[in-house]
This record gives sequence, C-alpha cells and structure tokens, in this order.
Amino acid sequence: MALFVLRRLGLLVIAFLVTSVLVFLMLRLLPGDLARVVGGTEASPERIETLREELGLNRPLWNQYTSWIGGVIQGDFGESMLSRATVTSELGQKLTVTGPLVLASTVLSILVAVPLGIFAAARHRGADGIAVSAVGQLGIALPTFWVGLMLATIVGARWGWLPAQGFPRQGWEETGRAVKSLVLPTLTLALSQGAVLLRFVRSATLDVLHQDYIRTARAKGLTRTQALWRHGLRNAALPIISILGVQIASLIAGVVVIERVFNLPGVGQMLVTDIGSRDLEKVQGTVLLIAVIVLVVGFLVDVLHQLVDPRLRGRG
Amino acid sequence: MRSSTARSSRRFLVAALAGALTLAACGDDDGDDGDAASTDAPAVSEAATDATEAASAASAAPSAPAATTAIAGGGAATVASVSTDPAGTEAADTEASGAATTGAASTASTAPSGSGAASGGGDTEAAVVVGAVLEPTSLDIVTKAGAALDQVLLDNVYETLLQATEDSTVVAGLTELPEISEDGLTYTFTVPEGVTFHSGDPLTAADIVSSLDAFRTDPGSGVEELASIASVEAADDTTVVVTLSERDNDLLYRLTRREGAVLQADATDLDNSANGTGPFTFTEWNQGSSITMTRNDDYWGDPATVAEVTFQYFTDPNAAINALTTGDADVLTGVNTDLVGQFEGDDDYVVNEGTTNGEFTLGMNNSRAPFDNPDVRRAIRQAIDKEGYLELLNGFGTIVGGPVPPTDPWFEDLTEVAPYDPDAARAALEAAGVEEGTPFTLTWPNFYPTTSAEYVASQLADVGLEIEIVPVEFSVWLEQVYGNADYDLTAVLHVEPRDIANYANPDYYWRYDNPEVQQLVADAKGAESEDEANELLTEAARLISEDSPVDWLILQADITVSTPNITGYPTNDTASRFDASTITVAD
Repeated sequence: MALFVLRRLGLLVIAFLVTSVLVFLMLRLLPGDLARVVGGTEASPERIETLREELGLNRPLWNQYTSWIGGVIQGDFGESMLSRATVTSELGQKLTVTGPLVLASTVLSILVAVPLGIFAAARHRGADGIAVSAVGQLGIALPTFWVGLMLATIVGARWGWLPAQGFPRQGWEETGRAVKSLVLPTLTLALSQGAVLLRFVRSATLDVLHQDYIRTARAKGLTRTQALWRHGLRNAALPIISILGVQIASLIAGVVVIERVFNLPGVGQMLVTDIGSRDLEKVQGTVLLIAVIVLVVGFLVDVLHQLVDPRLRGRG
Repeated sequence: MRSSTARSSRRFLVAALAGALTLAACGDDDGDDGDAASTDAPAVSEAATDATEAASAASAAPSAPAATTAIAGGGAATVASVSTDPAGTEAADTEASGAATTGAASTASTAPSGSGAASGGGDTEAAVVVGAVLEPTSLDIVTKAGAALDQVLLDNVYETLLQATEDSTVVAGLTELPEISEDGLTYTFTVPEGVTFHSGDPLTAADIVSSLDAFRTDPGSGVEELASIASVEAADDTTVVVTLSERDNDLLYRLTRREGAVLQADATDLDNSANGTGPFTFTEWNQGSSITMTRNDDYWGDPATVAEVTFQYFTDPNAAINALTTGDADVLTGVNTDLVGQFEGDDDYVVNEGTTNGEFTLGMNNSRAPFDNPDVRRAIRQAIDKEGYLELLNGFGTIVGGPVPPTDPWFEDLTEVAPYDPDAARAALEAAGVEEGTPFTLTWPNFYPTTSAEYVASQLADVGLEIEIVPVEFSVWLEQVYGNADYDLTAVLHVEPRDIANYANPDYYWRYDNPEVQQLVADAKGAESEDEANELLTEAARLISEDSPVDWLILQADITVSTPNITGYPTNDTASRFDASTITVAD
C-alpha cells in the first residue's frame, strides 16, 4: 500500500511537470502579444519594444519558464502582468462563485441522473423507460448557452422569479441573493451534465444486466430488480465514477459559457478575458493551479479506490 | 419609426437568439477559450434554423465601440442601476421604479445631456451602479492603453488639466486655460488653489509636472501625443511651465484626454488603485465584475449628485438587457442596435441616440497590390452601399464619406466623393486589371458581428471580388494587422478622437503614404491660428477621402437606454468617457 502511494505520488509530480511545460508552451504558441494589447492602437513600434522589455516578454523562453516554475515550486503561482494581482488570490476569489456552481450542479445532476438512468435501464423496453432516455437525449442536444439564455430571459427577466444575471458585489455576505443568483446557472449546468450522465448510467446498467452473475442471481430466484439492486449497481458504479471524472473537463468548458450568459464573475470569465488580453503569466498560473487541484483529487480518488476495492490492490 | 410595441415580444425572442448566435460565433472563432462554445455552436444553428435568418439579420451591429484601444468585449454597454441603499443591498427590486412618473420615451439625439444637468432635487444618497461591457485590464492610466479605463476613471476619479466640450472646444478643466507665449512654444499653467487629492494631500505644481512627465516618457501612454513637449518645470509653487520644441496646435486638446490627467507625484500601485482629484473616490475593483466609487465630499467643484456609482461589466449583451429589465440596471449605454428595439415605444424606458467618435473603418492594405492603386480602393468604396448597411443596423449610425466625424471642427460632408455605384466600381476594377473572382481576405476581429463582415463580403462579391472572411481575436489582430500589416482588407472601429493624424503616418497599418496629406497635417499642427489649422485639416480630409485609403462604413451611434427616473448621464460618447457626477435620480 505504501509503495502504491509512493508510486502514485511520483506519477503526480511527473504529471505536474509535464502539465506545466505543456501549458507554458501552448500559450507561447498562440499568436498575439501582451505588449500590443497594453500599447493599444496608438502605440509606436518603439513603445511596443519598451513594453516588451518592461513585461519581460523579450527574455528567452527557457528563462521565462524556469523563473516561473521556480516560483511555482515555492508556492508562488505568479501574478497578472496587467493588474499585478496574484494568481492565487484571484483564483481563490473567483472560485467563491465557480466552486459552489460546479459543486451544486454536479450534486444535482448525480441526484437526478443516477436514479433516472437506472430506471431507464431497468425499464428499457417500457414506454416510461424510453421516455426518460428520450428526455436525456434531448438534454444532450440542447446547447448549454441556449438553455441558459432561455432560462435567463424567460424565468429571470420576463417572470422575475430569480435573478437573470449577476452575482452580488458583496459576495457571500449577501447570502440570500448570492444563492438565488446561482440557481438558474446551476440548473443549466446540471441539465447538460445530467443528460450525459444519464446516458452513461443507463448504458452501464444495461451492460451489467446482461452479465452472467445477474443471470445467476435470477436463477437463484431473485427478481430482476432485486438482482440489479444487490449485485448490479455496485458493478455499474465503477464506470460511472470514471465518467464523473472525465466530466470535470467538460464542466470547465461549460462554466465558461454559463458564466458569460449569466454574467457571473467566475473562473471561466476570468480565463477568457485573460487569454483574450494575452496575460500569459496569469493564464498559465491559473490553469496550472486548476490542474494541480484536479491531479490531487485524482490521486486521492485512486488511493480511496485502492482502499475500497480489494481487486485493485497489488496491481498498483 | 423604428419602434413598434406590437413587434416587441417577437423582437425579444429574436434578440435573444441573435445574442446566442453571436456568442456561438465568438466561441467558434476563438479557438482557444475552451471548447465549450465551439462545440455548442453547430448545435444551435440546427436548433434555431427557423429563426436563424431573422436573428442573424438582427445581430448586425458593430458593437464594440471602444475595442480599438481596449481589448475584448462586445459593446460598450454601460449599465446603471439604482438603489436608495448606498450599500447596494437588494439592488434587484427596482422594477417598480421603472414605472415611475415621467413616461415619455424619446429617440431624440438631444436627450438629457450630462453637462450642467445638476439641477436640484433628486436623491443625493442614491447608489447608482454603472457598468460597461469593456472592463479595464488594469487601473494604470499612465501605461495601459484602453478606452475602458478612460471611460470609468476620467472625470470621475482623475481629472484632466483641460476639458473639451461636446463640440470639441477646449475649456478650463482642473486648471484654467494656460497662457500661451507669442511664439506658441511656452504654456504657463496656474495651479488651482484648494484642490486636494483623495489621499488628503493638496495638489501642487510638482504633481502636475510629474504627471506630464510620466505620460510623455516611455512607457507612458502619451509618448506620441505629447511628443512636442521639450520640458515641464515648476517655476514656483503655483506655476507650471511647459516648453515645446515646436508649435503644436493639438496640444491643448491632448491635455483634455488621458494625457492631461493629474496623478499625485508619488502615487504607487497604479494597477489596482486610483488617487485623483475628481468628484468620486475609487473604492473597490471587483475584477471581472465591477468598479465602485464613492462621492468625494471634499471635492473642489460641484459635488456629485449621487452618493455612489458602480460600473458593472457585462460581456454578454443579453445579460445587460436582462439587468435593465429586472431593475439591476437603470441605464445602458452603447446598447446593441439589434437589441434596442424592445425598449422603443415603451414608457418604462428612455432611449437616446447620441453620437460617437467611432468610425467603423474598412482598412485596406495600401502597400499591397491591387490596393496600392487609388482607383481600386475607390472602387471598393463605391461597391459598398452604406445606406444598406445603415438599414442592417436598424438605422442607427451616421454615414460619413471621410475620416472626420461631424463633431470635429474640420468636418465637411464628403459623402459625394465616392457614392455607391457598383457599375462604376466594376468598370474601375476591370480597368485596373483586377480580374473577376480574384480572391482577397478580410481579417475580421471576432467581436464585431459577422453579419457586418458578410455584408461587406457580399457587396464586394457583387462587383466580382471573392472575399474570404478570416475571424481573429483582437490580440491577434493587433499583431498581424496593426503590427505587421499582413492583410488585404480588415475592419476595426476607430474610437480615438481627432485621429486624422493616423492618415499622415505612412507606418500606420493602412500603409497609406501621401506626402501632401502628411504636409497638410504637419502644417496644421504648427499653424499660427486655430482657424488656419482647421482649414488645413479640412483640406487634408478631402484629399484623404479622394485617395480612399480606407472605407468608412459607418459612424457608430451611441445608444443609451435608461429608466425615466434617471437623468443627467452623458448620451454622447465622443471622448470615451462617462462623467457620472451629474447623474440624478428622481426621488
């Protein structure tokens, strides 16, 4: 077990370094230049040169990388080259909006999609089961931002039931309003996540239903439902957990859209703005920090898996 | 004329869809802001096929007024929201206030003007939340370009030495007009008494000297604008002497712009704070969301008429509209021409159409064949029907036939120089040897509506040119087009005031090189009198129009929408600033 943890830690460090190099290089491959953004449309070539020097953009790449990664290793993820705010404080601030949004929509999508998916699988020949998977299919087909826009303009602006946009300036101090602001975005995001999840739960459960051990259980005298509950779900859970992990990636993409539609000052909006203005140091710091969070969570899940599932032990 | 209540509900949906498509287009073009938008994009065009035509027609506005000098964004929609509670709690329920007393919606271009509207009455404790689409990337007004920065900080937090009226006359600002020596080389400013910075320190001659020096030396943003200044010195505690290396008729006007802003001499942390002398003190910048400022009760002039103003930023135009309709916002400026329809004819809102300095300019690469031929460039101009384009913008905007907006003293109607005439265009292209079907690229900053690009492309296709639209991010545009002039055709909104000098700069991205124009502009700068300078520039503008280095698609309108209880906000955007000190909220 200790060996496993050590080995996984080693992998974690390697993954971290590879990510940092990739993030760094990919951003450098983008055309566009921060100095030009700062200089705007009235800057002469000389001024652009001065700015490049000021911003440290004319240093050799390896120099830029090492000085950045050196800071990161000491816990300094860098700062915005424009506003000089540190990445950690900015990201921390934006996560107070994006964090709850992502968490709530994930929980909501699991709560709705998992039971519905199992139901749709168990009744995959019944009209109700087919109806449920059709609704799921529709959820996948509807573009996230369209759903968001409709909710915002109709439920928010037209009916005035919930805030159509924005997040209180005072943040969570303004708790009631903050919670309300996140309701429609959460629903939107949960819909798109949940629809995908529902499909996976349904197909994972269907797979399981055709396994030998279910047949054995049925032969033993259990009903289909009993067999599914006692033996099926535990086995269906593993691929579902994996898919939840994969969904994190699409979640970040979804957040970018949702935050724009609902005008939420979150991580997605920040990243888009920073990439747009080529604030590379801030973008790479932010992306790396998110990557670290994902890597660490992945590591913890792996270790937990080990503890929970005896079959995985010894495989490392 | 443009409004109809019967249509309003359909427009509502169309507007929403238009926004959706714009968003999809944005994501699609970006390529690097996450795959979310781009994966969703094709889906909507299927889901919304029926409405696509209507929606795309409606999303045609060039909607990024400040985008030439400020990155990102869609339109400079400025949004103000009011709550009587200065802390801004529960700003959500102003819906009722929208229905307040004054009912008339007006579409006049001379609606409540900002200056001098500080009439008595009104809720002086009101907290007005003002926001815009284009958020500054930093608060450092000395080194960071961006019209968004001027919009929020100038006149509100920082004050400029001089001020310009809406008809471009230079008047006293923080200081009186300077005494100018006979030879025009020495400007003597008197430091006003009783002015203090928000830090509590009094304004001194040293502050003015250090501010001008900061702007005019690298990496200050006024290096080019203040190039004629040889030295700035404090003659004594109350006198600042600016010495020029050559006569510069432009200088006074330049000092009404950000280059004339006065900062405290030893100011630090310019990126995240702002210590000026203006009617508002900078309070808080919630990055990615809003900037808040509070009334400066020690202000030397007339105090602001509201207690607090917040600029709230909206990257999505529909979110801004939603904010206005739910009462989270009470004034929107720079509203998209395709979204304003729902407010017209509605008594709960006031719609104003003001003017701007923003020429939406179709740039041509004068250093690249066939655009090095003036006949070809003129043919391009004659091929594009500006009336049709104006219709696409629902009638918002002004057709100009040259580089000068009507608010500049050297304006002259030049629309007759190259009127719409596709037959003449075809003939000219043929005569110049440009064969039918010749392919060209149109490099298009992706925050401008693609419908505008498609309009241009289809007009040019009509005279036999094959145009490929290449959408790019603005930062890429700055490098490829602005920096390296690597393009055939492009379009950008030029919001810089008095930007005729760009046509006298052969290194500018159009690569337009006409010594005669350059001479006229230089002469105007050094002319003995203002009248003479104006005459020279009028002549230069005509020459430029005849040369057609670019095409001027439209002079963008400044559309503001508010609830009727809010008055006194600026309705013209000729200098990329939004003076919030005269906003009045009816009790």
